[in-house]
Amino acid sequence: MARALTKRKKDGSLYKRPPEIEAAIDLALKWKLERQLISARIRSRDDQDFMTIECLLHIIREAQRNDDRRAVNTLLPELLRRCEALLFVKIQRSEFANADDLCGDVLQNFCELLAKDGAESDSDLLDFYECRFNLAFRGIRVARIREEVAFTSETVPMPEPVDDAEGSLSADDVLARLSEAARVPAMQDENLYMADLRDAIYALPEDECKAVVLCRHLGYNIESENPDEQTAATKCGVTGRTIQNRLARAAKKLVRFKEDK
Amino acid sequence: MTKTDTLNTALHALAVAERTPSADCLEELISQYPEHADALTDMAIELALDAMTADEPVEQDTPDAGEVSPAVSRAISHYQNIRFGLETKSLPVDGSGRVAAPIANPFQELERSSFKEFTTNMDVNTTFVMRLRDRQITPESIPVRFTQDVAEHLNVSVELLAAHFSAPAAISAGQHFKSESKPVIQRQQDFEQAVENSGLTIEQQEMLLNYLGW
Repeated sequence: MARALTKRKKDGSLYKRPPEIEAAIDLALKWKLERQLISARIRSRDDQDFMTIECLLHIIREAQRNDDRRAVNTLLPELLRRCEALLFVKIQRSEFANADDLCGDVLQNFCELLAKDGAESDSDLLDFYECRFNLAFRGIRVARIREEVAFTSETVPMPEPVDDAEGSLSADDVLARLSEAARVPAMQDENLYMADLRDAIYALPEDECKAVVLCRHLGYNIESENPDEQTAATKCGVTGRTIQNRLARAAKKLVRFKEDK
Repeated sequence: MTKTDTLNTALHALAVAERTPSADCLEELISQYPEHADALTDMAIELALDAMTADEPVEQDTPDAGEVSPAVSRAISHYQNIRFGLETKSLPVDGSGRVAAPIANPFQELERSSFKEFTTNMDVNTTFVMRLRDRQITPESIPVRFTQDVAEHLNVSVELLAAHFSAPAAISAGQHFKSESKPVIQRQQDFEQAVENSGLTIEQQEMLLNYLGW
């Protein structure tokens, strides 16, 4: 039977694996290592013996706790191959010249967490990964990309252009649609469009990109009369008017992107 | 907890909270970790943009079963070094995951006859084994399966052998030399170069290079 998770949520309750993952782990733990390896190597999710990455991780964590080095040495490469496949989707050579190195760094960061897992102070380090692996793993990936972008981009603050306020009307219209699209996970067939849209937002000047995401993705107000409220303006250290101008300029560029598509 | 540890904890908490972080969630975390407010905000922006596209790889993008890329191989080596460092505790691991303190050289323990037996069993030559012994091969380039096989033949743990490979290159303590000056430690080569430059037969080279494709 799968070992119970010990990591607690903010409200004090324990994390729980989804029932289907719990059942898959219970089944896989009864198998011999050779059988587990066969299952771990199946690529098609439609195959009834396909092993989820959460299940594979659990078996490796257990093997590590029980000092079963043969099992760890056999299954760890399979887990990391799966992780690498996840990274290939998001870290592409067309975007990063050093994509392979970045993938390697993320894998090493993950391996560091795994190696330390089960040590006295870090006993529940990877519990969440057994519930929703992809969500947890992207944290390591995005953190590494963030470092990379910060390292490679030399940003020079530009003087704030003065816009007339008329643009803000069309900005609301364009960006409202964007905000809805951004909050719903892309389906496979619209993934390419969303990837292009994301790239268009990335391509905006940093201040405009930040304004768009703060207001339209995260849901911050542009400004507020309440001095205690955090808004896009307070977070960027500028006035609400400046945020409106940045949104308007961003909207004009994103309208052009939509027209080109 | 160091500042880096709390930053990592805070960033992880943000990443797993919601697929697209909300302003409320972000502000709650900032109130818990005010010293990391800027990093959390930047991370939230990245996560929001990241969430616009799917996470799952399509099946054909997954490497073939059994294939281990150099990146995976390096990550496993990193894992083994950290495990070895944790298990021995007295041997600190530096920032790159390499064992910083001197460690036992498993080849050093071999008697002359055992050394020869090992060379024969692995179907390699003495020059190549000495490169392994003297850590003249970059650890990141050594295939995981090769390390596993060598560990099995030496009857030592994979972690210990990986830690040996990762330690700085050295001249073996018991090694004799004829010149008046002590030999200089040779620059490290990668696994492929070492295979090609050790005077191995074509068959032996092919056998060793096959490890790279695993």
